[in-house]
Parts: sequence; structure tokens; C-alpha cells
Amino acid sequence: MDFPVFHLDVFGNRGLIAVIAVLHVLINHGLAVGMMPLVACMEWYGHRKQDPRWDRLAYRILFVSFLVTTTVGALTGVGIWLSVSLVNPYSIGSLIRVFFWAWFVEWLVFITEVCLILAYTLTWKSWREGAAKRRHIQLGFALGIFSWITMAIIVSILGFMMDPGNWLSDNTLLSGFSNPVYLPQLAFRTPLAAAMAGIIALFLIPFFVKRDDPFRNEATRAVGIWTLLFAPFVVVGGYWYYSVVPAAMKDNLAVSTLTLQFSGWLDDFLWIALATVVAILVIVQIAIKRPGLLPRVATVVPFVAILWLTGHFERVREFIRKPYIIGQYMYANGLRVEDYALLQRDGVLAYATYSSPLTEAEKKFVPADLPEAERSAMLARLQKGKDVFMDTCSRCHTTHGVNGVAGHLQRMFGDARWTPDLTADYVANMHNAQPYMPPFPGNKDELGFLATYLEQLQGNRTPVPGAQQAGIDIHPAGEAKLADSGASGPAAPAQGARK
Amino acid sequence: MRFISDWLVAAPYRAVVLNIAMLVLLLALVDSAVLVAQVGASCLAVAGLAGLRGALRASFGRGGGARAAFDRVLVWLPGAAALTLGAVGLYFAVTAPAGSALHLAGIALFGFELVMLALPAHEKPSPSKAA
Repeated sequence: MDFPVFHLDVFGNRGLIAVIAVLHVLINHGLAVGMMPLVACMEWYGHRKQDPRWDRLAYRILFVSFLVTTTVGALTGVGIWLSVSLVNPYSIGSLIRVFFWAWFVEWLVFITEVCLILAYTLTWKSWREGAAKRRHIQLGFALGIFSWITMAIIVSILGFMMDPGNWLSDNTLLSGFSNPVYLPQLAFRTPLAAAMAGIIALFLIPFFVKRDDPFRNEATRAVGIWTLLFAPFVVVGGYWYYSVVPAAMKDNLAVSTLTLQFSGWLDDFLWIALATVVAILVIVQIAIKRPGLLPRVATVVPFVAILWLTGHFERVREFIRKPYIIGQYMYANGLRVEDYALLQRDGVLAYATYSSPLTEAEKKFVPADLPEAERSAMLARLQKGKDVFMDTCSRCHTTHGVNGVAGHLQRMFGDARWTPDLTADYVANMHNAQPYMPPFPGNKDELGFLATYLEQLQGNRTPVPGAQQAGIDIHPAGEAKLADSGASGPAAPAQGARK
Repeated sequence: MRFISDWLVAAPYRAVVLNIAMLVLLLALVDSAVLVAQVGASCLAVAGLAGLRGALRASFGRGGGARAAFDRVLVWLPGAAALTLGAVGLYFAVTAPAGSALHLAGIALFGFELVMLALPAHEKPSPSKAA
């Protein structure tokens, strides 16, 4: 409520973060955290055996990783900051306050990692022999370690978001960092990254080593061994991670895995996931035992499968946490649990700085032939309803797009008119019906305003623009805040003035 | 018949694979979880013991054995993985209803892992330096 409301009404705000963040995870796990140690091991092994073929292969795989991580990987990393700041500045603001020094250290480690990957790649051809080669190999392992450290820091923040543990009472960085989910999640992600790197390398080998070259079988077998070595740790780490997920969040598993529409298919989905994992292991075993029998196209299967499984895991991890964005502390709508009593007494609009102006399509809900006073009152009610929607619902919901409220209302109430009498009671109690929904944070009046806004959605399918398109108005409560804070210089904008 | 016997003799493991395939087919047709469990467990035990003997010989054999860490991993890990996954397949074959997708998938996995345990490491490592 202290920020203009950025909103994507077709794709959804969650989708923006999801696409950027999942892409980032796939790249940093598979091509950085997991791949750098694998490449360093290949280089070391080739140097030890005095076999230049390992060196050539390692360099080629490194170059692919270098290109992708320093472009898409880096962009998506920054993209996460940008997207979460736009979509949920309150949560990222809280996390920055808690983890400031951890993130500061992580930034230093990340800069070091970038310098190391630049040095590692660009000195490969020149540090070829003797002591220089040994130094180069050490550089590779150092790069692997620093890549892992950045993940080790970020994972503590992800774990904190699920279960802050003792931080809820003592509010220290150390208690936040050492949350109950941290080590289990790290124990899962570390071997997962290594196994992912192995599967990606298995996919890349046929592009860099000719089929009739016997070295191809040797490399395929070795990379298969690498992957198989880490596979059991993924299972053990995954089980440990699952065991520390709060019980209430486990109840969200069906919806988080398959969305509400398909949640009844959870068992089938889990069997499909298990079959996929077994298929990956079978192909890896063939790569070890009979690498000559493995056609290039067969390596596509584990490659696509591991990307899908990891991406889906991230979706499940993010959704399962609902209704919280920071467990027990902040709901997904960006409002703190401890502020609810105040908001439900005074209303959320009493503390809102910005207002999202009504569109022409929304204004059409109010009949034009009404007396002026009645029309103004109705428009004001609709405006407040929109502000409540944008401030408390739009972080996760669109109107008619992905996860649209209109779709949910249609599913629940069909073609019956979505009057406030019909919808208000549901909204007031939806957190009891759907445990991943936060309670409605506003007061009784605002429930009515919101219900009025929802009613007009039944006939208005026009997407709702966010502040980035429609601009903002200063909310009356915001005017008061600005006045209280002693805003000087150019006159404070008049109420309703468009920015 | 001559063609089949020549084909089998050309590579010794082919006969083993054929035997395993016939065994798996029989187990798939048998409507007895107890029999499947007993036969399957016996197969895994025999294959596991044979694999263990081979791995010990490869690791500590008189011919030098696998000294480097990577070579030792290459000796032990595939067999351990195959044994574990074979047991998983057998578990599903025994616990799932006969004829169900899970039952057949378990049988197939069990059979595949038996083949993995039976196959020798056939290829020799390529020369360490490129020509």
C-alpha cells in the first residue's frame, strides 16, 4: 500500500517472477553450481592422465556454461530483484532488512564468482602447461566453491521464507539464517545441482565428440558415473527436506503441484514423476554400461526431464508456502500477520498511499442514467473496491487472466449474478475453505466495496492495467501521510490528480 | 536355428540377457506375489553376489586392480545402483495388483536392472592419448 501497484492482468504477477526465477534456478544449478566442479574435475583428470581430449571437452562444456550464465543467468538474477520489487516490495523489503549482511556477503561472493569464471575461461588457452596448468585447475575448483557459497547463502533465505524458526521471537540474522529448513534444503539442492550438471554434460558430449571417436564412450561413461554418484544424495536430501516442511504447508501439496483444477490427480502425477526419475536413472545406467548404444536423441529425455522436474519443484516450493510469503510473519498479499488486527479494524484503505484509477470499462458498470449524486457515490464505492482488490488480491490474482478471480467466481457461482450478498460471505471465510488463501485483511465496509468490484467483473472482461500503464492517484489517506511527513517543494498534488 | 546360436555365441552376455527376458516374462504372467518375491529376491541375491565377487576382484585383484578413486567408483557404483533399483522394481512388482501398470513397470525395471547386473564391463578404455 506504500507503493504504486504494479500489475499484469493477463499473465499475472506471479507468472512474471516464476518465469524469471525458474529460468535462473535451472541455469545456476545446472550450469554453475553443478557444472563448474564437473568441468574442473574433467580438466584435472585430463591433466593427470595427460590426455588432451578431456581438456578439450572440458573447455567446450565450460564455454557453453560461461556464455549462458553470464548472459541469461546474470540477467535473470537481476530480473528476480526487479520483478519481486515490482510485484511484492513489502516482502523483499522485509527480507532485505533481515538478511542485509548475508546478501552483502553474497554480493561479494557473486562478484568473485563472476571474476573467477571470466579468469577461468579466458586463461584456459594460455595457462596450458606445468605450474600454470595446476593453477588453472585450482581456479576451477575455487570457482566451484564460490558458486556453491552463493547458493548456500540464498538457500537460507528461501528456507526462512518457508519457516523462519526462532527468528519469529528473537529477530536476529543468525536465527533467521539457521532456520529449520536451511540445511535440509541445501542437502537437497547441492546433489541436485551436481546431477543436473551431469545430465546436461551427457546431452552436450555428442555435440563435441564425434560418434566414431572411442573417447565419446569414455566421456559418456564418466559423466554417467558422476550423475549416478549424486543421485542417492538427491533422494536422501529430498526426503530430509520434505520432512521439515511445516505440516500445514504439506496440506497444500495437491494444489501446489497441479493447481486447483487438477489437484485430484496428485497421486497420478507423483507416479509420473517417479517414472520420470527412474527413466533418467535407466538412461544414465545405459550411458555407463553401454555408452555406444546410447543415441544422441536418448540424452534429450533426461535433459528435458530434469529441467521439468526442477522447474516444477520450484513451483511447488513457492506455492506450498501459501498463505504466507514469509511463514507466520507475512501473508502473500504483502501484509504482516501482526498488522491484521489493525487493518481489520480501520480498513486497509486508511493506510493506503496510492489509488488505482477506474478504467472507462469499469465505470460503465454504473448506469449513466442515475442521478448525479447516486452515480458519484456508486463510482466512489467501486473505486474503493478496486483499491481493495489491487492492494490485497492482485499480488496473486488477475481479474480474467491467469488465476483470475472471475474464473474462480464462475466455478463457484456459475452464471448466477455475483452480487455482494453472494460473494462477500465467501470472501470473508475463504481462508477456512482454502487454507492457501490469507484471511481478508479489510474491515466489513471494505468487504462490501470489494464485493461490488467483483460484481462488475462479471460483465467487464477488459484487463485491468497496473500503475505502470494507468498511472496513480494519491489516495486520501496518502495525502494525509504526505502532509504529516511535511512534504515540501512543489505543492502536494490535489486529491485525485493523476501522476 | 544356426543363425540364432551363432548370434548368441557371438557375445556371451546375449544368452544371459535372453534368459533374463524369458524369466521376466514368466514372472509377469505368474499371478503369485509370493513366487515373484521369492524368485526375484533369489535372482537379485545371486546377481548381487556375482557382482560383488567381480567388483572385489576388479578392486583388489592380482592384475593391479582399480587403484584410482574414479576407477573404484566405476567398479562399485553401477552394481550398487542396479541392485538398489532392482529391489525397487521387485517391490512394486510384488505389492502392486497383478497386471496393473505399476506391476508391469516394476517387473520391467527389475528385469532391466538384472540385465545391468549381468552385463560385464565390455568395453576396454580407449588409449589415453589421441593419435
